[in-house]
Amino acid sequence: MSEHATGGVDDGSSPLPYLEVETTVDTERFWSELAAGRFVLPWCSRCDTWVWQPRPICPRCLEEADAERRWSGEGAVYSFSIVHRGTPGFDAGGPYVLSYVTLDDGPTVMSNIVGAGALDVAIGDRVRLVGPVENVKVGACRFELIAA
Amino acid sequence: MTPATAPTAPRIVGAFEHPGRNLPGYTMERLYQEIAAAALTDAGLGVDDIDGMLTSTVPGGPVALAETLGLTRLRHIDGTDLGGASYVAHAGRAARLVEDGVCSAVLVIMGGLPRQNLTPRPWAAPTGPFEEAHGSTLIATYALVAQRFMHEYGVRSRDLAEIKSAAALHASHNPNAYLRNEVTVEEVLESPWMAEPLHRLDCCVTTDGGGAFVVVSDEIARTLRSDGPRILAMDEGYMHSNNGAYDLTTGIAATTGPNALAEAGVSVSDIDYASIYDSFTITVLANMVGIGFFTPEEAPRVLASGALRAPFGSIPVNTDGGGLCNNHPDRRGGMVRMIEAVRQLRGRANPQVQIASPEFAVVHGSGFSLGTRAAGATVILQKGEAA
Repeated sequence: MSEHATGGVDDGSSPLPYLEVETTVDTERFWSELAAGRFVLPWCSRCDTWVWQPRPICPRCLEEADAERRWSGEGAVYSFSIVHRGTPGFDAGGPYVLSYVTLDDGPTVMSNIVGAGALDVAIGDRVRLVGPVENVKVGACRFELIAA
Repeated sequence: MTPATAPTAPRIVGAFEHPGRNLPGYTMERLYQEIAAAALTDAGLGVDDIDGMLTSTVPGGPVALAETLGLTRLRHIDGTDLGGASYVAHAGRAARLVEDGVCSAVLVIMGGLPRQNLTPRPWAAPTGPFEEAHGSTLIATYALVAQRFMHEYGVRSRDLAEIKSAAALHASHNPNAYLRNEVTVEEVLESPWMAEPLHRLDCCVTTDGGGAFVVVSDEIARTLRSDGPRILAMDEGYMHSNNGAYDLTTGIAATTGPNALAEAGVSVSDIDYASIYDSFTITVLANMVGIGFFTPEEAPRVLASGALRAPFGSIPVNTDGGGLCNNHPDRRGGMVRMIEAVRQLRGRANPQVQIASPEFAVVHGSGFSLGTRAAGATVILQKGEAA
C-alpha cells in the first residue's frame, strides 16, 4: 500500500465501486474534491464549524458559510459493520466495511474501510483517506488503516 | 413510586390488527377499508362518529385516505411521517386532540402491501447520496449501532439473540404470526450474517397488512362501556447527523422514555408489559436501555434470565411475537406495537402469553434508522375499567 503525506491512492485492491450518486449544485464540489483524494467542506467562521453534509448555508446560524477548509484525511473509526448483504455492485467482491469515521478535528462521516486488513478493522483504529486510482467524477469517503 | 393515575385521560376504545401477512390481489383501498371497518366495530362506533384521522404517508395524501374511508366529518387530519414511530406518536397526538376538545373520536390508521410492491414511501432524504455512495443499507446502519454498543458496553451477539428467541416463543402462540417456529439463541447465532454483528435472525419480517385504533374521551368510553386503556403520556423526539456528531448509544428513548414515565407519574418498575419497536434485535436493546429497564452492562444478565418472556418474565416484551416474528406491516411496526399493548391491558392477548392483571404498559416506537436519522415516541398506557 503506497504511502502519502495527506490523502493517498486506492491501489486497486478495493473492489468497491465509485457510484455516480446524485449531486447538486450545493454538493458537487465536495464530491469532485473527494474524487481527487481531498476532503473539503464549507466552513462557517461565525459558528467556527464545518458544514456537514456540505451545503452553502451553515446549519447552526442559517447564514452563508463564508469559507472552506481541507482536512488531512486522517481520523479514527467510530463504528463499523462488515456488510455481507449489501447494495448492488458493493457485495459482488465479498463482504465490505461500512463505517463511521471521525476525522481529526472534523465531523463523523459515513464511509468505507478498504485496503489491507480492512475486514479486521476495530473501533478506534486510525485511518487515512484514500482517493480513487482512476478518474471518477464522484468520489467516496474511503479510508485505509494506518499501520500501528 | 405510587402511580398517579389520570381517571379522565383519553382512552383507546377500539383496535384491530389485520390478520393478513401476505395479501396478493389486495388494493391499498380495500386494505384500509377492512382495517377501518374492523377497528370501528371493535370500538362500537360508526364512520360518522370519527372527526379526526391520523395516518402517515399514504397514496395521494391523507385527504385521499379520508375519501377512501368515507370520512366526511373530519375536523383534523395529520399525515406526519415519523416512519414506524408514527402511530405511537399519533396515540399521544390523538389524546391531545381529544383533551383539547378539537376532536371527539380519532381514528389512527396504517396499512401497506410491500410484498405486492404497493407501498407509499416518503421522498428520499437529501443526505441519501452520502449513504448510497458507501453501500449503506438499513440493516448495516443498525449494525453500526450494535457494534458501538458491543464496543462501549460489552453487549454480545448472544444477548441480542435472546431478544429474537423470546419473540419467537411468543409468536409460537400467535396463530396469525408470520413466523411461528421457536428459535434458540444458537440458531440466531448460526444464521447467516447480514451486516455484522447482525444475523438474518436479528432482523424483522416484512409483511403486508396494517391496523388501526380509535381514541375517544373518557366520557365517550364510558358511554361505550369500553374496557380500553387510558393514554397517560406520550413524548417524542428525533435524532440526525447533527452536523456530523453521532452518539449511537444514547438514543431517543433515553429522552422520551423518562419524560413519558414522569408525565404519567410511574416508574419502570410499575410497568407490567412493554411493546418495544423491534425492527432488529438491537432496536429492542437500545430502546429498553434508553427507557431505563436495564443498563447496557446489566443486559446480558437480564436478557439471559428470560425477562422478556411472557407470562412470567420480569418485563414481558412484544407478546404477539413482535416485528421480529409476527408482523411488521409496510416496515412500520409502531401500529402493531400499540395494538398488542391494548390487547394486554384488555386481557385479550393470546392466552399463553396474557399477563395476569396488567395495570401499566409502555409502548416505544422507532422510525427510520437509529444509525442515521430517526424519530422515536414513548407512550404510557393504563388499564381502563369497563363502566
